[in-house]
Amino acid sequence: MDSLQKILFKTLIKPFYKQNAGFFIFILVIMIGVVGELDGSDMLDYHYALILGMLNNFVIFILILLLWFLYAIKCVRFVTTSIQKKENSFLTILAGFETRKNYLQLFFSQFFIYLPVFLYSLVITVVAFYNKMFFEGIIVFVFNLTICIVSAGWYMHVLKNQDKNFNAYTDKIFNLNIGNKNYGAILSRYIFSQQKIILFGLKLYDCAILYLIIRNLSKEDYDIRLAFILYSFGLFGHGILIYLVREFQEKKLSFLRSLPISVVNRFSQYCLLYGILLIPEIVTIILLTPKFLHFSDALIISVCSYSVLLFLNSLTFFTHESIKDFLKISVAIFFILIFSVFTQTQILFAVLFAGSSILLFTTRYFKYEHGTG
Amino acid sequence: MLEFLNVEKTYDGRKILEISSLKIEQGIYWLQGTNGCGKTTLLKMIAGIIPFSGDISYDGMSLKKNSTKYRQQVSWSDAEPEFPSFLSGHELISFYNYVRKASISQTEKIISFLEADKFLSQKIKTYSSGMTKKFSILLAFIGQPSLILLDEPLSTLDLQSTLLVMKLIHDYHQEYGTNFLLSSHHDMSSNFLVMPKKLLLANKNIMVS
Repeated sequence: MDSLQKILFKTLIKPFYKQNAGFFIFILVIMIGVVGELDGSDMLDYHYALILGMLNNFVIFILILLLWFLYAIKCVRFVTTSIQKKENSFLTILAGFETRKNYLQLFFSQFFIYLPVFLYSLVITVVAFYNKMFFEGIIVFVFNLTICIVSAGWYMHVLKNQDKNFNAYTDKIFNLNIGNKNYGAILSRYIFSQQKIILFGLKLYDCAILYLIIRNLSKEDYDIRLAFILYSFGLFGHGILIYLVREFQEKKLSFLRSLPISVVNRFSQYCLLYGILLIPEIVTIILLTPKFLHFSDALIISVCSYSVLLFLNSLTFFTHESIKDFLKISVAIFFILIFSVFTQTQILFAVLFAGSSILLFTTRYFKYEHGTG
Repeated sequence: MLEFLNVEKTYDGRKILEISSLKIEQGIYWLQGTNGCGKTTLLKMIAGIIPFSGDISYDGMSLKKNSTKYRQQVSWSDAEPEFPSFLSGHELISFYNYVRKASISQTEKIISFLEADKFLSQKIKTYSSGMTKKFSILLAFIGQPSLILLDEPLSTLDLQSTLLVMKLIHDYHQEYGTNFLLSSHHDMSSNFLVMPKKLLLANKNIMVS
């Protein structure tokens, strides 16, 4: 690796993987840790079947290409922004190099950034060739290679036109209507962009607990209480996230209260937010049902999770002055939930939590004032 | 017409505002008062941001009883506005356009008038305090509300932007009959083409001069 490659590695490739570490680990867990062994066969068989399914179904094939394209845009946006950062302004020296050398350096940077997709696409190409689906195999390979070739050319263009706001074009794709129509989407973006470490930790814990414990339950000693109790810890960890979301609203979204949005609509924004937040847990539950988890228990865990989050959220309109106080209340609710597990009254409490959250929200939303409790 | 009925605001048992009955006719008003007298609190109450006892109504629409319709008519710009740093100006404008059912062309006119188009595609975190202020004022005009509350609209604005904002206020009042309630420590009378009527906030009450 020459000095120029080292510079590009430290300014583009390393920061990219650092910033998206959570995302990659999550994908890895889903692709290998969770999905891989669920159908009883081993991981390789599962992925082989997955790839064949993709190659044989035109719609899925196009969808996968679209997903790769979106990922490529994500990479391009990152590199474009990095090149245009003030602290990276020294990268303009690249423009002074011979065009061919310059292009190759940028091509390899893009290649390493795009590597996870590229490697997977190579596997797909091999599988396609092995199954005599030459056309599909070539398409997959050429598609991803073209992405790297075009992206490198784009970076050269960016280097030569540092003062232009290139991401304005891709903003239109990435931010299309996100946050345009509801503030639930703005709150989601806050969590996904500003609190991703907490989010990732919570999701990893919840999904791992659900999967590892329930997956190992035998039919003879089927009892999900332990899984539910351990899972509840993660559920209450969401209290921190809920508290931070409320803090964010008070500081950065104080104007929301002045907007003509009905209380019902406002409540539905939170329903949407916490619905999105629980997707990984719900997906894990779905994957475990019915083979390892009974339908009734899947329903209980899902409904309880959702209602508890909504209830905790509504509580922040009652009191959220300090995270310590808020967590104290969260812990109290946690014990109520434990009690419900042992008395098998989870559904009753879930309904109570959901009802109380609606009541608290609708009566407290406009009455709550930050700083006065 | 803005109407106050038995309005009281209390913090920690201390009464900040007490307006038993008051009607404010249409026009451009300049809310004056010493530091800490409650100007921002009053504007936030009218905007429906902070709770209070009693009721405020605008053109017969009660803030407490017709919450959404009232908010459609009244908009607000903060003295020290803060917005999500990860959003771009355009994104927040789209959100306002949707929520306030605004005409896109009207919004574009305001953007162009305030010369804000240059920075709206950028993330809000890149805005200076003056740009954020201008952006906040821009948002307050979206959807052509009938009453616009501007808390310290001129603070942090440069001279050119100050003149633009003043002209926008004047034009909106003339063309659409939009009413304004401005709180400022600046001498507003010297900036306006139309002299604003003065409201003095003192002794927990409002006096119209």
